[in-house]
Amino acid sequence: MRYFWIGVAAVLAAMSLVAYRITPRLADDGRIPLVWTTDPNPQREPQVAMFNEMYPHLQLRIDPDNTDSTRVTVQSSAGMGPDLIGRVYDAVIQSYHEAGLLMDLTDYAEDMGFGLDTLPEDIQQFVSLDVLMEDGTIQSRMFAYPANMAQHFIFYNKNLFDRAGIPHPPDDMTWDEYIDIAQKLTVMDEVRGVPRVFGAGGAIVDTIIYAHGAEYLNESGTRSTMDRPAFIDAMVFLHKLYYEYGVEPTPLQQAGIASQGGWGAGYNNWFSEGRLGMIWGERWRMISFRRAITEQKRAREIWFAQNPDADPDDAPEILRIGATQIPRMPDRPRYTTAHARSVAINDANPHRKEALYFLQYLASEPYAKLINQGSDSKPPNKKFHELDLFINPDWPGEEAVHAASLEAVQYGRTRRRSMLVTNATINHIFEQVRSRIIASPDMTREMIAAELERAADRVNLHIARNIKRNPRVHTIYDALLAQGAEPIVYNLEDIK
Amino acid sequence: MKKPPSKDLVRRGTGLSLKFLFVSVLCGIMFLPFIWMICTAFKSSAEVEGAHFWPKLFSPDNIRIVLQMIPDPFTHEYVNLSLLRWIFNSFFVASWVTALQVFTSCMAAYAFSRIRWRGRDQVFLLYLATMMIPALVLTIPRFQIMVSLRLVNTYQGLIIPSAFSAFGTFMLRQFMLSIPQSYDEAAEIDGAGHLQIFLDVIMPLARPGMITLAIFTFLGNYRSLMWPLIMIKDAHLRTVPIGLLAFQGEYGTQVELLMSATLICLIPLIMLFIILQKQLVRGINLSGGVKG
Amino acid sequence: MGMLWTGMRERKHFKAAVGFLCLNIIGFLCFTLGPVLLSLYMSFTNWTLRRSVELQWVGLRNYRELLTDSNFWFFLYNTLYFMLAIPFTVCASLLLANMLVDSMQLKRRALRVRIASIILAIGALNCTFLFLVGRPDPALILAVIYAGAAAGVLWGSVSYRTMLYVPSFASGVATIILWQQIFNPYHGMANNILGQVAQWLNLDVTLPTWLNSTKSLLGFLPLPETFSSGGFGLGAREAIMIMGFWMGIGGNNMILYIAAIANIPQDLYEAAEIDGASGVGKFWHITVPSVAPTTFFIAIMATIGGLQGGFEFARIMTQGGPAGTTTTLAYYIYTKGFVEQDLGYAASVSWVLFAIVFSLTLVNWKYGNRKMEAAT
Repeated sequence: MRYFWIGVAAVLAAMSLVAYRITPRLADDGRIPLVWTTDPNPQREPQVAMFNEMYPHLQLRIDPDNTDSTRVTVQSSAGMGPDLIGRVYDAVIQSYHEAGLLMDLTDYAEDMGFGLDTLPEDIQQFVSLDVLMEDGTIQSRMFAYPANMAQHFIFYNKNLFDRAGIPHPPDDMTWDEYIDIAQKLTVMDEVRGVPRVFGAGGAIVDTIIYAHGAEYLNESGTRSTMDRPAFIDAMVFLHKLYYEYGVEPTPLQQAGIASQGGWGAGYNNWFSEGRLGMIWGERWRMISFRRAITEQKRAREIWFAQNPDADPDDAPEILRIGATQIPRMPDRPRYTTAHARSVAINDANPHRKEALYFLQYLASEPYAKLINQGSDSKPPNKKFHELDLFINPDWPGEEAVHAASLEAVQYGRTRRRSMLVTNATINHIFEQVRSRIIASPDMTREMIAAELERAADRVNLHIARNIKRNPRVHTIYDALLAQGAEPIVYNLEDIK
Repeated sequence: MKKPPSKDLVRRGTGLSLKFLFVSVLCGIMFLPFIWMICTAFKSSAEVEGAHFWPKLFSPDNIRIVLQMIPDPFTHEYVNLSLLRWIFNSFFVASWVTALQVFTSCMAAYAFSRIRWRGRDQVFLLYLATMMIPALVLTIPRFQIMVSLRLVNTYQGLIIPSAFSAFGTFMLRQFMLSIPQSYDEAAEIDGAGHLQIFLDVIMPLARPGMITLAIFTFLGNYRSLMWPLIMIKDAHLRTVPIGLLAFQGEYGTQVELLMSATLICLIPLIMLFIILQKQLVRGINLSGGVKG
Repeated sequence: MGMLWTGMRERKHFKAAVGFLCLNIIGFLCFTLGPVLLSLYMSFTNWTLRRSVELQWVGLRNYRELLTDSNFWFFLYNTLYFMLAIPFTVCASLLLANMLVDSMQLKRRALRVRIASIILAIGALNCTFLFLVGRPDPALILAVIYAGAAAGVLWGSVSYRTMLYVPSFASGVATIILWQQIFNPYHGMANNILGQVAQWLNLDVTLPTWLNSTKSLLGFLPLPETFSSGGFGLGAREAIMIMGFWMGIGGNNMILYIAAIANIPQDLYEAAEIDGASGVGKFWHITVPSVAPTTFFIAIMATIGGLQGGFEFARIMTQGGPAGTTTTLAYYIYTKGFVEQDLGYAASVSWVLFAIVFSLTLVNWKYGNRKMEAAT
């Protein structure tokens, strides 16, 4: 038995040695390492290389495996978070702040060239938070800087329109026109019962909510407005998009489409393959469209080599892309959801000062050039938002897309935030409602209204509990009341 | 009244054949998912949507893509997974846990079953009581403890918390209790100390119990999902379940690649099964007691 | 003198015990008992990973809040719903065990080899024919069945036990991913087969959409609206139960039952045969009561496992959806604790879960023991 255990120990020791040997280590060359959690989009490589070239004493690398906020927060609590938190979206910026992870950038930004004034107005709201300062005042502070920004618009596949003989979408499209066009584009696969070609896809819920004049919160952020008629209208409309008009792939229909291509699969590939007529998005979609076009050109060449005498009309098509703005309601202005993949500095990490250089880099011209040429949405610094800069000479014929992207900036809108409850909590509660609406074909208006009423009540209860339980939030609430805010729904005495 | 033997034989023969038929068909049904998986793993992406099993166009490329031997033809990039690394990690962690757990449980079981000391039964009762507590209750504080020990995102963090088990102690204690007291009394008269008795008398006799415990510990850790999911940050520490989960998140729409990767991840498990099948199917006594 | 001697001896034993136990005890204190106490403490606080919230003792607040949390009740209902599959799985295991308990081997080896070769030969011919005719799918399935039959004749029931054990052995992330694809409503195996059967029977039915559907077999019950009853039908929960059935039927339960049935004294059956009992009667009146202790053990383990289960498939297959129908308490604890970082609340949910597990086990124990006494 002794020998058995000695043998076991020897095997384990050998395995440990192997494990030790194959553990990758960073080369220690005196440079200060910085880790940036972000997606492994092919554009990242030149962006990182350029930064490391411009700041030779720093060594930036990306971590694509730990980008979601749960992982970042849990890992930061364990003392191993990233230096640069790379996907600070609207839904998580408040949570990160509550977790004490965000470094306040306000005092550095202006001097280092990445101040708020470099950003469009909607994005300024995106990266700032109202916070309670030590002296008891409420101030707006800056906590992140975008790596890129997006105001969504619509891409359309010209080939599909021409084949179906439908005129291209107008510049000023209404929702009725949008639905009509999308329905005309849809081609059913009778055998499988799923559309072979979807008319449209990727509609954003927030945009639909804005289009109905609704919001998640009242102006002072003290009440949920999810139970108000405008919001119910918006959700009923969303349900109709899926199940009455059939212009948005349901989860079920999505499951029916297996797709090709790893990164950015799904809608991008359906669109490139000609299975989706119109798609909501930003210029970042062009990264995969360009790749698809390269592929299609190659396929076409091969086809011509194989069929030299054939009619060119029969050859495999090459994707031709047009662009237009998000539809609007006839009686309302156009809004589109503004979005920024922002970067924040982890307040708990030692290299905070060095990390500031990265934000400086994000506002710089070389970085903007990479974004513009690589078509990774729009660069954060609005100084570089110009059509000439967007055009990549290698990719002629994209002017319409770039122009639409620039035009969309003026329609951009971000969600209201409350100081009493995080948007992450609201999202979490709302998501249950949304998923149920999308999963149930036979939901009536009454059912949707009942769901929303419950959701609003849960948010309101959350607000009341936060105020009651957290003295800091209570101070904020008192200050808000002093400013004339609408009082909360619940009576604070009833809350335990 | 006695039936003629020939008629009885016919009746029994028919019964037996029917039984064979039934169980064989059942086995066929049970294996359907695996057949479907293997077939899908060899389909081209265009064929995945079809209702048939057998691939019309046999494409072994999927396996080569997930083994990173060739790039994905659609993106011209190598897929982001390292199957062999995951399998190594899983084996590494599970082996360490198994060895440590069997060893520490064995020692504790010896103290609980062969040595008489005051308070023994009370301590043992405490062990037993904690077995009733769901593992979920423990996950959150265990994570907090690992944070304070700075073991998050390390092999040690995966291994150490699972290296001690009340269940293993309980099971081996029951086993050791069944070994007649006379063995160690004889050894004691020969002047053997506890260590010697433990190593030379009890351990060899407790081997079947140890093997059973080892199999279950190994399997449980090879499969475990929640703890590594919380503990692991770096890609190079991923075990098979975590790696597959990440792969599913990234390439979930490419069914043929997903099935190829799944197939490869199942192969070591199936091999292990072939080695262990005798122990598993014939002699396992789960109740932790003694074999009858 | 004698007293002193015993004392010395006792001290020596105590030292040895400490030596043998120290490793395990340290681990036990750090990773079991310590966490248990810590989690109990956490459940009475507002423990969170958010640094801006101060740690406070909140007494029973988490528990009170939980009782009014409609999600908690919904997810508890889901957990219990999934457990409805347990009796079916256990019964199926028992029936299989009863079938596979005798060796099923013919006495003469030469005869076995001959019959097995005949089966294999017929199978090879049959499958090759089907394959050449252009029907590879049935050929494939038949090939497995023929191979199973041949192995069964050659090695007896052991080969079947081995084959049926494979799904349970292989269960884990890989097989759950496999089943997720099987339940894909369009290109999954489940609907492929159902569709073909429906076509063959000339039925015009809408196939279930499995993991995308909120329907359930209890959907006709007037459940509260927050329980998102999607109507009667096969939905995500049923899909997962079918997967659980596949994984559980031939696993450890069957092996345990085989051992238990093999231990039943043969003369009980002989006595019953003299009394003219049929096969079914023997099974019902002798086998079932005799394996009651095993059933009791399995029931306890399955209850404990079932109440704590559901994390893996929720995380892998459904993310708890659609509309929360596949979220169990285990997955709720995970999301509350690690996604919403409300660790105190999550700890209180896990303690309520413990209370349920404990009381159900107690009921099981009392009821089961009484039943067993009645049986013997």
